[in-house]
Amino acid sequence: MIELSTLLNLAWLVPGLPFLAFIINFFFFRKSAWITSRLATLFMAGSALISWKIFYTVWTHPKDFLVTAQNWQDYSSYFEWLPLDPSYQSAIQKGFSINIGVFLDPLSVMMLAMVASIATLIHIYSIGYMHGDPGKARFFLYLSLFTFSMLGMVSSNNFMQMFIFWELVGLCSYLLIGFYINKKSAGDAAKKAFIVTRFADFGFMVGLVLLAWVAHDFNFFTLSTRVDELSGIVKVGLFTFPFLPMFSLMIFMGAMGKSGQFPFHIWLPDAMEGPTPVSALIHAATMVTAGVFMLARCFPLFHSGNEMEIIAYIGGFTALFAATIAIVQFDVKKILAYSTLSQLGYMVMGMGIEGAIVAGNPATGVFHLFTHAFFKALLFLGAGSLIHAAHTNDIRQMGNMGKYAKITSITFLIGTLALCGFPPFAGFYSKDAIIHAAHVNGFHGLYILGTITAFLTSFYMARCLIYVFCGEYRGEGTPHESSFTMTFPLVVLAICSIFVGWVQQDFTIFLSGGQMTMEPLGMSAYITSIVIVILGFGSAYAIFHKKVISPEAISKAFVFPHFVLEKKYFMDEIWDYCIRNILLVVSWICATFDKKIVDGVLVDGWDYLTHASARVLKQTQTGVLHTYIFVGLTSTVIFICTLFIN
Amino acid sequence: MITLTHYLVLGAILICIGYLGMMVRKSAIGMLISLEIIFNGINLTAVAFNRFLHPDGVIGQIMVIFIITVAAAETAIALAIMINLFKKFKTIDVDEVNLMKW
Repeated sequence: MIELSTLLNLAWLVPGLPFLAFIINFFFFRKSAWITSRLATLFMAGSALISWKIFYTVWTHPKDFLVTAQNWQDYSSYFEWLPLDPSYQSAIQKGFSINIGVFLDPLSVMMLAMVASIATLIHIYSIGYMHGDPGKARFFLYLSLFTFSMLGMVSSNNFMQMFIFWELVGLCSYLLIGFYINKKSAGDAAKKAFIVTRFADFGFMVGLVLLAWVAHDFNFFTLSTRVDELSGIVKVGLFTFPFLPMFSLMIFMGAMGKSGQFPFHIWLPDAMEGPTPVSALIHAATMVTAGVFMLARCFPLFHSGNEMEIIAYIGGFTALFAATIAIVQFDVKKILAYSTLSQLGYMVMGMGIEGAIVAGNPATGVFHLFTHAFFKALLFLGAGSLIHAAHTNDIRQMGNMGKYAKITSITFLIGTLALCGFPPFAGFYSKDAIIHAAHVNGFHGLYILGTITAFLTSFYMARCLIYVFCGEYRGEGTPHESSFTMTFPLVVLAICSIFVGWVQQDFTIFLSGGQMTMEPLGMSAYITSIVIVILGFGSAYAIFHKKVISPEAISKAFVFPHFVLEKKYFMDEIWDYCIRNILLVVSWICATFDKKIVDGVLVDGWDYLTHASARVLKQTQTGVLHTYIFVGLTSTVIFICTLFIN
Repeated sequence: MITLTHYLVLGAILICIGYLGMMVRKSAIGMLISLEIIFNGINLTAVAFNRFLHPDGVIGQIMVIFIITVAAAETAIALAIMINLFKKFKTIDVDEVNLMKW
């Protein structure tokens, strides 16, 4: 095993190289897309290689990386960015400051390796996908900046660094969704994504302020030893509340925004306006899982609180909710976007369930995050390749794509099977572990939700496959297979999607520093999963291919439910209504108070008072010298006289 | 025998005359002269106190010298103002000059 200090020094390079690529490209090669793309990809690949080196070391020595409140400093390399209260003293920690740096524990190492490898593949893919786009150089600039921010976020050891990079990835997401600057819909989607996540991040920010106020500490590990102390009631200003549940719900609000949990999910489908590699990297594989990553990071802090049950139910609900919408979508990227929402719901549900029970194991949710990143990136890149071939997003205009684009089709099929959880593909091990956890821990409602969602997942993905690969080609022109730079990442990701699920046991041991194991999924899970996938595929095949009951007949028979689904449960309209009628009314009241009371009475009032009194008092100034002398001397005399009277 | 009371009464009379002059004179020169009379009343009072109550001390006399000095300087400024006033208004009647207001 190489020295820990060497590892830490290497870890600086993982977010450092993409940042360097960003700086160099920004200052020197902004005009040359060829150089920008190659340089960014090269630096990214270097970063990925280093992250694998670190990952391999930690993976082979999980017991040496059991990070606790006592030894976390050995595993982090940081500088004090902003000292807040140097005089603060507590039993475990001296000084209170915001630290920026890198930190190596199994979770962050896993995220570093995952993000860096997928980012590398997507950089390679983008070279082909963005070929000939006038904004290609700008695209790679943003991509490097995003990767830097994401890597910086996962390697933080405190809430504040996490928050800073959290906002940075939000900014990059905004820039990349609105990448096609001439498209109004792209700009609107970018604004929507930014504002909705910012709205949710407000909760995160309030949580951080509370944390600074009450606990005087941002570090994940020192905080986790103070759970008992922090669970007590605190008084902040006029409010009295139990600190930790309040804090965790506030923080979770930020996670809901980033990870698209109901009701903050509305931005993610719209975010598909961005280029497809961006959807794959940011809105499927990495950034949107930040919320789940945060739950895993705070796991010891939130552990066995009642609020975790709320989180689990929000996740379960989102999973089902998004899956139902995906059934009626015709845009291949929208289908995948709702699928992402649904899978994120699974992850949050997994974290919630494990958090709510005593011997909870965060590996359940995190493992799904890990496998999902591979197969969802694969699906998005596959969809990008299909779009590239057919020049449309609409699956109704595709058809028989397998004939024209073989590699894309096979890898897309593998991704679909992995997503649906067909053993032995990756999705099975992670998704069914979550459903299994709901079952054995007595969350029967969530178990049923999860199972129905699994069926719906198979159903809508089969529907998508049938539209894309069956029948005759319905679009214009002749589709063609994409170039090597685009198919290479597909193949790599497809191989990963087949195999990464098999490491489930080792992954649990690795993530918990050798402290926990996960029981392997039993035969019943295999059978249930296979039955569900076959049911989903079979019913989709019967409806959409054989037309036993034609889809039109179904939508005619269920006009209202179909309409509701097509309108996405009116969530956009509800938000719009809330903003127009509640938010704007409240802000109108606040604005009026500000204008009339604060400005009108307090600010202008003083001005008016001064003016009015001056108007009265200036009448005494006649300008005649004798008056002044008279007043001056007479008052002197009166003053002296009063002295003598007393 | 002239006692302290006599000096004080004379000083008071001088101050009152000066005061009255300040109030009633319209000419700036007249007002300046009245001011000088007030100063003289005060000076007389000061030296009288010094002589009768504290014969060994000199504080009263020093104060008088200071007052004379300051009064001379003040007279010089007042005259300068008056010259300028006359140049502008062709009069030194203070009732005509009512600029000292807002």
